[in-house]
Amino acid sequence: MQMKTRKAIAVMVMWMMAFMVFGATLAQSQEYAYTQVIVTIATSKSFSVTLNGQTATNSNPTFPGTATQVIWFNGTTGNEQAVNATVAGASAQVGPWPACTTPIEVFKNTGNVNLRFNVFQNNTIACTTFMYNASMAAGSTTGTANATLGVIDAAGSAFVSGLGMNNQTNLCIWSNFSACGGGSYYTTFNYTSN
Amino acid sequence: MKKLILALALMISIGLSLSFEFGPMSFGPKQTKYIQNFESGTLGNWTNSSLWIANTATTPLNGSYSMFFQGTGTGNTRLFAANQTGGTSGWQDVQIIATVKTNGLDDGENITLSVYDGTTWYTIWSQEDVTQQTDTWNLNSTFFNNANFAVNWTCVSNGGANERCWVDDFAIRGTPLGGLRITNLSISPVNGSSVAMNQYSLFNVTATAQCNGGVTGECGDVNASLYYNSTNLVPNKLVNTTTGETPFFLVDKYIRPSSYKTTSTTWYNPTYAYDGDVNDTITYASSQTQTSSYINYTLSTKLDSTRIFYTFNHSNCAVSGNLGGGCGIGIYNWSSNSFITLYNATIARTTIFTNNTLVTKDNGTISSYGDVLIRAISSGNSTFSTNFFLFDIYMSLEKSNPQSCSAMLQGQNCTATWQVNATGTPSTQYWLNVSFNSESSYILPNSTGNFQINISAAGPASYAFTITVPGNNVTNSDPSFPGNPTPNLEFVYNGSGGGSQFYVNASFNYSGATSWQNSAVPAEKCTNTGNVAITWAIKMNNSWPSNIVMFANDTNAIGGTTTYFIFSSSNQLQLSVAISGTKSLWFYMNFSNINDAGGTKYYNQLNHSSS
Repeated sequence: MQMKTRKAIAVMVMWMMAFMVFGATLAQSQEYAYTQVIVTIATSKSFSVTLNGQTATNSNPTFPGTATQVIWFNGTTGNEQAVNATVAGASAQVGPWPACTTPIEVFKNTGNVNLRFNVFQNNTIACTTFMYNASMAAGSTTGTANATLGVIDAAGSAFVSGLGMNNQTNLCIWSNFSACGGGSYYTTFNYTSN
Repeated sequence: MKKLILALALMISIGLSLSFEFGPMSFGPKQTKYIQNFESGTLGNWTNSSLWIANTATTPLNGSYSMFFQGTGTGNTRLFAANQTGGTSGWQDVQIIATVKTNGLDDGENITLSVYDGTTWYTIWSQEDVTQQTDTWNLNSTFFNNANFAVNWTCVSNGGANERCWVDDFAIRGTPLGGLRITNLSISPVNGSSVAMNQYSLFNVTATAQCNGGVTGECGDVNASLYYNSTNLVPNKLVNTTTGETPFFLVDKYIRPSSYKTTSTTWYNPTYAYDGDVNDTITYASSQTQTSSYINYTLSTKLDSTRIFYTFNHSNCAVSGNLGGGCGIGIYNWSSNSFITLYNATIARTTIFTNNTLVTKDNGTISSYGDVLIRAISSGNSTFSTNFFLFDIYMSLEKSNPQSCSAMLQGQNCTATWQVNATGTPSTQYWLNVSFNSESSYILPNSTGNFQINISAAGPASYAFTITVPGNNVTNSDPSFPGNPTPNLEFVYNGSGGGSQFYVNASFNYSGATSWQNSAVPAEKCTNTGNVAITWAIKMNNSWPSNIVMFANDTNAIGGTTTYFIFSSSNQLQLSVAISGTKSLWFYMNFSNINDAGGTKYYNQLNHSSS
């Protein structure tokens, strides 16, 4: 028994020595380092605006963003109600009120998160009120458009919320004139995504 | 009946053979590759002048027809390679057997057998008067496995009465490759191994070969010869032109003068500037007068059974004095206080060479275990007016080259070992190759092919490296996988949903800040901090999604169009990095049709290793 124990110890020592030598040899043959690589898909809240019959205008991260074509609301008496919007240079009215079938603007979520869109008027015109309603575009199922009549004012109004990536919302806009004198009046509609 | 006669003739032909090459007759059973007895009544696939015909009327040698010459002039009949299925391709130990006869030829007229190796026709037999006989001609290895092998019979006659030549029962025999040959060659160290650059740091080169082929026989006396790449390590000038022996390593850079002595009894330390180059220079003061000056090159390693090849040169050794003289060199055994006696030559105590003479000497065996001094000596009372140069002391260990494997029988192995000195310039390479050659022309030689040996710095090989990322952050390698982490490498896609973005720059985020690669700062720089040249290997743990491509180039062409290397789990980028050298990489990422939600992250790991 004692002899067996000695043999076992001897064998174990030999193994340990062999391991130590072998291990030392291996240790000299290669060295290592590593780099963790992280790819991040950053959040994008980009969108595009397409005016009726026009090409799309892409949003820009910096206010006020990129300008679309000009929209006209043409009245004759200065007291009309629900005047349809018209893209500059186009003769056709867009609308009609209140069941909008041809939106003046279509918003598309080109980002990679769901978006809420707001519209507000940068500088108001005293004799006019701008109204809108929104609807989800055909084939767009993610999002809630504000179908009820809203007002575009300086405070702003959300016309769609939760608009999914690549989904689109139609926006129809009308103007009410009240004792407007002859001439042209200018304002700016601003759109934001968040 | 004729076939029986032919078979008997072939069987006894060995005993009757007229050997073209000396050597063992057979290494395995031969087979008949081509045979023609002309019994079809034509010469078959022999291309001949009209002087040779298949003839039955003039007493054919065997059977009814022989190939027969009767005419005036010189007539050739040839069997080209294309007419014998590719010459001797696939055959070795080739022999020709034929029954021949001449009649009535005059002096200077004869029948001749020639063979063709693709370039030259060689006459292997020619005779005037030939009584009908069946002969065998064993060919040498030039005609083995030769796709252009061809045979030609020529008969020269002036057309005198009954002047004739016959050839019959012609055969080409041999052993198909797959018979005995030198096979299963190997060499160690393996290709690409590194050896440390220590003075007299020896390593073994071992090569093995086997006599193989599945048939009984022997491969003859086989020699194993070690070769080095002639453009590396040892200059051709060191080839011993007397013996043809080729030394295959050198220690030129590391034999340095250890001391010198002028007219005084004091030994001085060398005043040369040792720059690691081959030139060691001792500068004497201008017009310094000396008597028997010495420069000692101390070879402290025991040099038993060692041969020293030295090359001595000097320049600007303008001497003058009572004896005129010049500069010289001798080999001195310091412990015995005597110059070494050489076994095949006696080198004079002072060997005088003229200026700028390059001399290579084989100084034979040095049996001393004591320190050996190579002593450079001026002759007599001389004045060294300028510099005294010694350079290029080469040394070669004696281990016979080639080495003998003796007679190798089928199935036997031969192992030959050489000791090679690892000394050389770090980060350089040379190539070793062992060729096994049989003294028998029947056995084709074989060689291991070149094996690259990398010269590394002295000491245990270290494959250490560092990775430096933008912001000058340095990570040391570690012997254990996966090693130490560098700061995280990041790529950020900031395009729109469903969009694409190309050549996105790499950045490293650590210590609360982001550092970017730029035209002057690579994403990762590998610095070889070890003592051997390394291969820097970079590989991803996992592949990226198909619409995300990470790639690298080794220029600073940020945003350029040159794709250098695309990473995946199966693609490994490998770059050689010299000792203390660096290699830089710039990383980029292409994103295509990204439909992932904002905030999505992908993780991967770039593994670096050295070997």
